[in-house]
Amino acid sequence: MLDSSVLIPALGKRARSTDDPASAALFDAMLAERHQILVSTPTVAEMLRRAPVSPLPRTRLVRVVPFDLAAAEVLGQRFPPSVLTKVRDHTGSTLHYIKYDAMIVACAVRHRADVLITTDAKQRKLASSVGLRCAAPSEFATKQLALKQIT
Amino acid sequence: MRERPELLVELDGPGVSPETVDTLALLRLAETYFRLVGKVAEASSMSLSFRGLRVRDKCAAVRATPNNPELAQLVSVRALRIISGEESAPRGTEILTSNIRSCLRSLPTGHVARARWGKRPHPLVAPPLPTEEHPWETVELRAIPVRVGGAEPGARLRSASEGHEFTVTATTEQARRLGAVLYSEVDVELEVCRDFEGRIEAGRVVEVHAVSEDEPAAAWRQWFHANASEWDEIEDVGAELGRDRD
Repeated sequence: MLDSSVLIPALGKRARSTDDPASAALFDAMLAERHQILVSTPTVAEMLRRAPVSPLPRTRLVRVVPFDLAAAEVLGQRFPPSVLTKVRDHTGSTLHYIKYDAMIVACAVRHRADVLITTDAKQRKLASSVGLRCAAPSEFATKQLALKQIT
Repeated sequence: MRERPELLVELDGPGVSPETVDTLALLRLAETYFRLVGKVAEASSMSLSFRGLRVRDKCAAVRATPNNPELAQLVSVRALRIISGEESAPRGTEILTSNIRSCLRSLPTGHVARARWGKRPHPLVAPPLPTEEHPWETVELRAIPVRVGGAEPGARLRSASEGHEFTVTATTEQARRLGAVLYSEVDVELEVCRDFEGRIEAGRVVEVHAVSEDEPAAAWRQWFHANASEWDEIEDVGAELGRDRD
């Protein structure tokens, strides 16, 4: 599953200094290698900043997974308010943001994602606490030899 | 000499006797019940086994002698609660619980199963099966139809979001659409009910959506440009999303 912090830079036209440069390359490479990409509906909600003008594409390899009842049960069981409040107290983030993070992790668990790809440290902690593997896009980048090593 | 206490499983109903009882139904019921009782004891770190077998007249019943009568009595009462759904099935007993419920649900109308310890019979009752007439959850899944058809149209679906294949009913038109994409991916909206393990037990198709063969990267970037291009103006996506960067 790709978190919003990865999907937005992967789909956007502009590469920012704050983005993980591997996000777009990872998105393209996953599709080229025919890996299934999961996109949660909370991520769709984060992407949309106004009323949508066209429906989400229903394409092969990219699967939009809803925050449904089963996901809500995962959220309730694994991330009750006491856990989210603790995360807030440790990170200084607002509950609003933490809840989105937790909803995305709950979708990943409910829809049996193999790995959550995110650049967010707080979200990685949430995911790790439920045994979900996490990685940053750059972790998938192949190291390139420096020119001086091959000349 | 005093007789050793026995645990008994009986099947009763119109015309049921040791001569007429459905042999396999009674044996399956008894086997599953005794195994469940043993497994429930095991879940509490205790050991319980059964020896001997007697077929009892009157209705049709099989009796077995437990190695620990007091424990068998305690556990058999707990097993009744687990079977009826009053108590959750302990870890390791889920499949046996599901099996005995299936046995009980498949008994002919008018037939009842009981467990008996001493004189008092305890009915073995499976919890009511949620029916497709009372769906309680709407889900949307990407799924692969692996079988479509039947006198009442239905489809067997496989989805990466669910841990198991499941069967749902469909209208003739929906079945045709699913049949046309057999072994291919399709998005389906479903109304489903689940069993106590969270497996889809019954359901019906609400809508079928074809999955496009368009190149996914291009389709998604095009959608993003049309619907979320405001992000291109934002300097720090992580900060805007409230994410803590690694």
